[in-house]
Amino acid sequence: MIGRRFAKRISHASSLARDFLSLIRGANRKRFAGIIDFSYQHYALGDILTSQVNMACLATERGCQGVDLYVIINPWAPSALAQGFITPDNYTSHLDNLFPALLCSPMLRSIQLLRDGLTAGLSLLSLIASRVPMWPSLRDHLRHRLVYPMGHEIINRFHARHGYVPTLSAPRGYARWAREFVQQRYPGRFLVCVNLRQSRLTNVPATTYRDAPLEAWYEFFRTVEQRYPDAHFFALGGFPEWEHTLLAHRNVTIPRTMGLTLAHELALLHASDLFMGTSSGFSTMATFSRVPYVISHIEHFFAPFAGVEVGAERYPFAAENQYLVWRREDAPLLLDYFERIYRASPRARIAVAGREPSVGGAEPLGVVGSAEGAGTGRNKRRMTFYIDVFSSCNLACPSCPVSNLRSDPDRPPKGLMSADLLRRVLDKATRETEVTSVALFNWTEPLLHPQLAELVRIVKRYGLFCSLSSNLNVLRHADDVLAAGVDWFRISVSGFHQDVYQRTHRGGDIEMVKANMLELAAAKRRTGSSVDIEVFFHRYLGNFGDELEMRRYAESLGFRFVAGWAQMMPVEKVLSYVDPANPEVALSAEDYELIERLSLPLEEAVSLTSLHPVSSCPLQDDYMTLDVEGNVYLCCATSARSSNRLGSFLMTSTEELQRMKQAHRLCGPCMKKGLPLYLEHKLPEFDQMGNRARPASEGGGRK
Amino acid sequence: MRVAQALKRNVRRSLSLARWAFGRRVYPWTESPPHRLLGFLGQVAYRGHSPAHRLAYIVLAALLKHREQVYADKMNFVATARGRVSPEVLRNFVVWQRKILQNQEVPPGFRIHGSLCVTGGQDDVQVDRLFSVFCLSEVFNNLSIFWGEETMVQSLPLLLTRAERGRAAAQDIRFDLDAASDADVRVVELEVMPRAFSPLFEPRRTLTTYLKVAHLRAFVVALSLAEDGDGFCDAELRQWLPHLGAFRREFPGVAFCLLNRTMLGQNNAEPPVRDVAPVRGLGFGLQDAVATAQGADAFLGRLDVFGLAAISVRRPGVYFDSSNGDRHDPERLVWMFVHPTPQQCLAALRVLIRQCRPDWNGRERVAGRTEAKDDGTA
Repeated sequence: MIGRRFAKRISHASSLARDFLSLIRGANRKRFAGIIDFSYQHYALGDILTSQVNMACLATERGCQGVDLYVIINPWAPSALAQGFITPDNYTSHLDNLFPALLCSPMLRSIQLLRDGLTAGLSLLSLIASRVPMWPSLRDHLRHRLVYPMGHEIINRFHARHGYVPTLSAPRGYARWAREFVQQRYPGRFLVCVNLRQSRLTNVPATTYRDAPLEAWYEFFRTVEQRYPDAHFFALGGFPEWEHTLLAHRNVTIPRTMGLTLAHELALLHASDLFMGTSSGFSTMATFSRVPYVISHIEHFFAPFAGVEVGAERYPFAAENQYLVWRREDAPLLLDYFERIYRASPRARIAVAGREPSVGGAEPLGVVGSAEGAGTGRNKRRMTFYIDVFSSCNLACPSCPVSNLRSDPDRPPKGLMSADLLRRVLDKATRETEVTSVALFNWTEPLLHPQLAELVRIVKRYGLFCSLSSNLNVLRHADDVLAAGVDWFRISVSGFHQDVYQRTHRGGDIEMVKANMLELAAAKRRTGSSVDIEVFFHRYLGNFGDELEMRRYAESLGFRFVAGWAQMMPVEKVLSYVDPANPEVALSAEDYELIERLSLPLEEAVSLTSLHPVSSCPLQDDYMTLDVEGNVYLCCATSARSSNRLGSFLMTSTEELQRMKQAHRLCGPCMKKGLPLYLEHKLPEFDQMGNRARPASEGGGRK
Repeated sequence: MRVAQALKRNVRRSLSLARWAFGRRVYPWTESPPHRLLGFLGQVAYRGHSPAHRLAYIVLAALLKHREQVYADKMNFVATARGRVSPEVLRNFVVWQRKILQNQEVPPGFRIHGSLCVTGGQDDVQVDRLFSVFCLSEVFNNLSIFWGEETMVQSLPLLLTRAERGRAAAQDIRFDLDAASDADVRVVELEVMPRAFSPLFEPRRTLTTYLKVAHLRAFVVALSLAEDGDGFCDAELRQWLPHLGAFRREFPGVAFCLLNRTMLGQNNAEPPVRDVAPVRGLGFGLQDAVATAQGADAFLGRLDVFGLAAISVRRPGVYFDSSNGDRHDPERLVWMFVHPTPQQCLAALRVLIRQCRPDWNGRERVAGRTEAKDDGTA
């Protein structure tokens, strides 16, 4: 009897052991584990954000599908020794304030806040036993050792291998809020987020020598108010960190005075045109975003942690308009950087990917008409004009409606735009709207126009920003065009070698393009033009190796290089693909072939945007698209079919045209599926999607 | 003598252990020898600071947790959130805790673990607002947030106990934060609510300092109005402002502290809002606002998370409660209205103030400064 009971107990124990082993070995290895244990890690915005980028880099390299965050707190000893002011009685307030920063990684799949040591133990043992990749490493975690300040070693290494770094996004649940807030309350403004770190005003002053010199900033705000009335500042930071005198600046808003929180501020930073501020947690957010920034007063001792030399103009992974300043800022310095970025700002973004051939990147095209330029009437609607000055193209790219709708009998008018018509269009445009930029292209090739230089001169006579985009297979009168004053010139490519290039720039000759790039660089030198020349590389599956070669070539000529995810165009094709039951246009075998070739998987991208239907669309509100005869079309991303033709620009008022756009039947399904976000590349998850597909298909090299 | 005692003790323990091993003695699972042994070793490991100690603690904690999963029940509770975090969703987060405390017989001082499955669009659910309410709670210990059903299903085996896993498979035991009914906030059932609003040290300090600086001697009324999906109450505040202005002309010593966010008067071009102190724009977070609801002299407004916080500490006031019909508790100075007008609410508040401050009889002196002027000292 006793023996039976003992045997039963042994059997029960062994069953428990088996159950335990299967439990701890069952964690998902396809997900990355991020450990934030506040017994040795810090309650600090910058560190939390950098940690998440580290996790995203490592997760991407390990091929993980997402990141699970384990936040471990011992309620009786809730902070590291360095943060002794965080006690069992107040740690929830600190945690609550910081929590939005944990929501900024697009790869985040779960957060587990573990205050119970037993649950934390089981979770950690499960990660260890299942060999789930994790950060910090098990060794570092057990030693409770993390080097502060948190450096960029992992991030720089990732960038060196892959050519990009994962970016952070607005905190979950706030991206839409920020977009709507900006659109409703600050439409058309050049929005600058600033962080004037003022630790000395807080309850726990620390490293106060890093605080911003307030007088310099106040002078900067005053100067900008006079010179750039369309610029507006958001002063970010904790409620104690500003002086009441800041409220006296009419061009400064303090989000905290509206009851907004860190989550709102981080989302606003993402929705703004520029970030400026002292080195701080907010500057870390900007560092790992695509927002242009100027981070000032960086401590010199941080240089080796960031993997740069003291005085470096930018981080290795930063974009051209993301600057570091290693000295204490003063008003002239702030103004200098502000103007530099303001003048080259992406405010007049080409919202569409689809400049010929379809573009993914939604990269900056023009600059907003500067304050000293024409059309600064504050009550007028701000508009960017896309004008096809020539009706056809010399290439037949499969992603562009000029080619993929060529069999459609419903074609736009043929011909070219006359100088007189352009003049009349601009007369009316500047009368009725505040013109932010004039792009002499939409779907077609502007360099085929024999009097292009004259058209550019006309635009410049109105004091407007003028931009061109070309496949550069032909380059006529380069000196004339540049001398006419064109401000921005995009060269659109998708390969460095002919076999790759011709797949998606059908009919083009990349060697001719390269030769013309040389000629264009020479023309720029000869004419002394200040044109901003951008080489835009369309990322498809199979052209990664070419991208690196083209980047080197472009940069050797002094051109700015930008790469973006190629997209299918026009919108009708996208809608027909994702909703085949209600086709807008027929999709051909060639279309399907192209869609297969997209790095950013169309179906997956639209599935994601469908979760974010939009109620307003910048392509509808802020852009006017005209053909060679001055007819206005619904949108710069839709086809030039007659159903999208709204009427003559000269004969119809802008307000009436806008009303017609708003009532158009195509906008409903497009906005419902969130396609404007796809066209503008607004969702940070796109980068992860695109990058996930590329290395797998290419093995990291050219094919 | 000591040796003899130790020997005796150890012999007794060994005998008990043997009786347990051979099934002659039964313990509650938390008292059984293996549990006590693991607990003892865990404490030893926890006190150490070397990596080996920490690793040992992880293993021992995992074993203890596993025992808990095998033997315990009603430890973990799951809720779902699908859309925007409206005031109702925030309130339902508190209601969820009330339901757990009432139905599951959770002993006082015992904390349970919550899991939240976010199934809506990622850009709809502002989970940080729910997290703020979670931080107020002394019901929950852990909180796990999962984006997507699949993510949660993969992680549940590590979180739920055996009994809970069985129930989870058999029926849907999740609490839907978007769908709780008004009946869930009946005042009579709110007795267990205080545990959802644990002592708030930092917010209390913030509130106390603020009241001393800004509203010394004033009769402070916490005001909570209808919010939109992002927590702003601008629409309803516009309707209320004229009435509040008239009321303050009658009672200048009353200070209304608005607990919701507002953008009214926050733009440089707009005049600032008078008659109401928008505390959320004065650096108060949600926790601070809850502390204000609990610390004010009276409450006026909706039975949202602030209203529940106020009523949980028996704060007198005028509550908008759509669940139980109009009623009045003269003892606690509580008025409940279903769909009140501002005039109706302020009439009740007038009665409340006269009972709380019998020396006030309308047009009374402004707190602090005016009082000093009347004394001729200013």
